[in-house]
Amino acid sequence: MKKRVGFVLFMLLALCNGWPGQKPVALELISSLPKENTDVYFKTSPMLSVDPSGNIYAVDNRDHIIYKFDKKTHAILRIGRQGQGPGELMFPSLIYSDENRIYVKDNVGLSIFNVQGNYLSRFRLFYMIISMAVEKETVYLAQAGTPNLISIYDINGNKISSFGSKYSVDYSLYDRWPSQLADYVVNSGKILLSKDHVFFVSTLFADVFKYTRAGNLVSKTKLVSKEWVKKIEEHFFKKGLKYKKKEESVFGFFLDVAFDDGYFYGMVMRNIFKDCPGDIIKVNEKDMAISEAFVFPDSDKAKKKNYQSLCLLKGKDNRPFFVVSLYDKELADHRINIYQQRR
Amino acid sequence: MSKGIDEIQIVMRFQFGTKDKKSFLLLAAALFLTSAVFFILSYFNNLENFLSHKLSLLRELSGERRTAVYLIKSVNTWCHPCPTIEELLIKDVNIYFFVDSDFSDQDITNLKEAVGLPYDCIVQRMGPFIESVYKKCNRGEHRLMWNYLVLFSDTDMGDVEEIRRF
Repeated sequence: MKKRVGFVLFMLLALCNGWPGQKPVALELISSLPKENTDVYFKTSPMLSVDPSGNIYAVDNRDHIIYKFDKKTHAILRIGRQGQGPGELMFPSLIYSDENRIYVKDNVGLSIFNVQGNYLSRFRLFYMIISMAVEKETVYLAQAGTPNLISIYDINGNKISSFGSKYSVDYSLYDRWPSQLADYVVNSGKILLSKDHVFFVSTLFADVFKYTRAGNLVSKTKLVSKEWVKKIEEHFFKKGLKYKKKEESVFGFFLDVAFDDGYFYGMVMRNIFKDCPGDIIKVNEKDMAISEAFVFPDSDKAKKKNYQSLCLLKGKDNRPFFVVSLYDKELADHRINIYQQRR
Repeated sequence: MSKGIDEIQIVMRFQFGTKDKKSFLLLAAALFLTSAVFFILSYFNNLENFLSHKLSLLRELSGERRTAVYLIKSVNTWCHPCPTIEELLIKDVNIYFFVDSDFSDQDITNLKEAVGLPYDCIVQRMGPFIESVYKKCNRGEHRLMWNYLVLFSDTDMGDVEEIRRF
């Protein structure tokens, strides 16, 4: 009887965490970029995007440049240069690529290049951009400083519509923060597109907002256990933050999130959230339950690596490769690592 | 230890004895007055600078006309609408808005929406004259405020008529 109760309690606890308790899948490093004897050097951990052909695009915020790597991870293109003119980039921070175009958000606006690296067009942006996703020449932008979270533009900058509500922020708790910046921080997240839906995943609080393509909210679900993000919510909604106060380092739950084939892949700040079963968790979109967890080969040295951006590369048997940008404190170098799942 | 203190007391008595007390007080008063004068001068100097920054917007350059020139470079701002633009709009100041020459019509429409400018407000693309003014002012008189580069109309920046001709 006691054993049964114990088992039921264990199962309940496991389900509360949304984690059925399997052993996490070990990842192994298969490639690291930039390779030696190339003239590629990252000044920051780049933001990444992978196109449907498997090319990797990396945008370096301090070098004001985009690098294109082919499937075999050879650097094949260098796109843009520092400046504010057409085809130039000024502190680029977001990148998105599809089969024909590369979209880059910088301090001036949204520049569009073809996959050969030729400049096509640009439109200006006048709000802080939280996240960007593009599909069929329709640009989805999550913006701070606007009443709605997501705005849809065509590639000429013509605003089509906007939707999605934001977290309500008590600005009085944010000492000396410009309101748009507080809005930007609290609503940090990522726009992800599926065939029929638009998702917005809050990287701070691990909430998933599911919208129809018309912008109607279908559901709001938490991707992980409420306990895991309780402290973060308290900090942002009850305590607030003081501007530029160094000792107050507050982290979000996810570092980055990707979506593929009905599953969310969230890269977790694991050295803070030690209860989380893996460095990357895979969550089923249908039931929002964690179905798999993955650990980096050097997971025990997590403090010595600052992970930044996550992308998925199609692998064999629908098991994706993980493309991750990071700062390796031991090597004192910004790198892009490609991991595969160990069999 | 006590010997040391005695020595100091002797020195103090010698320096600030009854005869020297007056001169000391005079010296102190002079120092106080001088510092006060310096303080007032620097205060007014700062004040003048401060006011000239604030009030040059409202400076009357041609008769009764109040003019300000705004050169909006890259507006990827986190704090808008720009309060100064709002103030000026309320105060009915003539404002010339200039943007980079490659701003599209759509960019200008989006800018007006983001900054809170009235839709009938004329925003012009920068041409050679304003560009030269911008370059000139970039070296000296300029003010970068929340990514809005605000150029104040001034005599050394060219005549308002010239701006109007442009």
